[in-house]
Amino acid sequence: MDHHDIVRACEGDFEEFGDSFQGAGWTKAEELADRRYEVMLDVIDDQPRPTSVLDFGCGSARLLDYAIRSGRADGLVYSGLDLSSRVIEHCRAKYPDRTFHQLDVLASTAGLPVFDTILLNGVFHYKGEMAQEAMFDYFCALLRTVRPHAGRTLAFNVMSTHVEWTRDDLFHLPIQQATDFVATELSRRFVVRQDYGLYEYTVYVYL
Amino acid sequence: MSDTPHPPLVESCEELFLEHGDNYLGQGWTKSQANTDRRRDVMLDLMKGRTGPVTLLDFGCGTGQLLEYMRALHIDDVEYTGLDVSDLFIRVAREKFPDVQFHLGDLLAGELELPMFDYIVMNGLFTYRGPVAFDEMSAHWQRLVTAAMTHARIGVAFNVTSPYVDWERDDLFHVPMQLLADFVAASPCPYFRLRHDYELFETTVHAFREPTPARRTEPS
Repeated sequence: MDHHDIVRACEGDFEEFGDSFQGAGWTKAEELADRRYEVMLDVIDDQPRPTSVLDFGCGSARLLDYAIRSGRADGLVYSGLDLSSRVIEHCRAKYPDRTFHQLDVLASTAGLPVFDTILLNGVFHYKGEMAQEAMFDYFCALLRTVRPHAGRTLAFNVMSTHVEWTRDDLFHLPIQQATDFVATELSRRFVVRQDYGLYEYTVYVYL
Repeated sequence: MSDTPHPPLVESCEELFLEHGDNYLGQGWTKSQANTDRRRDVMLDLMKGRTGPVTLLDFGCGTGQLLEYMRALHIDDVEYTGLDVSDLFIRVAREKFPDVQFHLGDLLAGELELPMFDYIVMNGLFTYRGPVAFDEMSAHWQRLVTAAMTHARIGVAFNVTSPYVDWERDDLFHVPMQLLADFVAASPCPYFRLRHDYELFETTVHAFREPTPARRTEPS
């Protein structure tokens, strides 16, 4: 099992539920999916506009829906990226004036420009049947790969270990394992947010 | 005074004050005024997003330099109170600010009748450990922060020295991230942010009683 299986699981959700929070793989409520988008967008609050953002693993571009709906899209030069050609087709029809990349960056990043910010929202929550170590290797490999394409900031979220119970199919990553990697390989300037009550945390990395 | 590592730590703070006077060096910071101010900014970020007047306790206030800084920045929607275990510091602070309340005493010794505050900041209490062993310092830090949290309606901020440094110093309190996160997640203020973005080889923790959406309501 590898990240292609994770993408297939996401496509399954999209086919079953369509362009909704459940179709994007979130299980509980629209409001909770929105809270994640809000925390992701907080990382660019202090940046001058216009600012370019790559929504990595964009699904059906619901982060952009949220940014528009909540009045946070001014000066936001949004691009999306996904491995799934089905969701990218959907995005291109939905937002014909935005750029969407259909790309497996672990195979090649050819043609992918540099963005001020890269957001990876929900890319590392679900691991399915992947072993914890294999998922951690994937997590590191992906962040290493996208790092040169982020000019200012990177943000990603993972499941917390501070939960009532952990699930075998979710990627619960001890905070120190994440920050050791970030501080050693990406940047010593970072923020960890576990303040929004969703059994996960978001890391902002300032490059 | 309670059976804690306070005495040697407080003594070294007082010695620095007697040597350098009422400036950043006299409060135990070694590098520059700019760095000292940056640390204060990160502490004050705890209250970012407030929608009305709030109360703040400066826990371990020294001579009240944070209040001077806040006044210089014209932060006038925060009602400041100071607290320190050093008689010397509280005497100086009261002389400087006769209209401001300063508490003298050791919270852990039960010497204080402290009210509730919206926010509490503990700046520089846990960056230096001097001759105190790591485990003893760790127990002290966790007890004192937990005690402070019981007096905070919304949240508490404190800082420790980072583990991500070029070299560790035996007299500084370098706290591993997992220890920090596990402690706060199990504390009365379990919703937290770890700020390691301001390049001073330390981590500032903002710990809140409620998650973000609930905090958007008016402070009391």
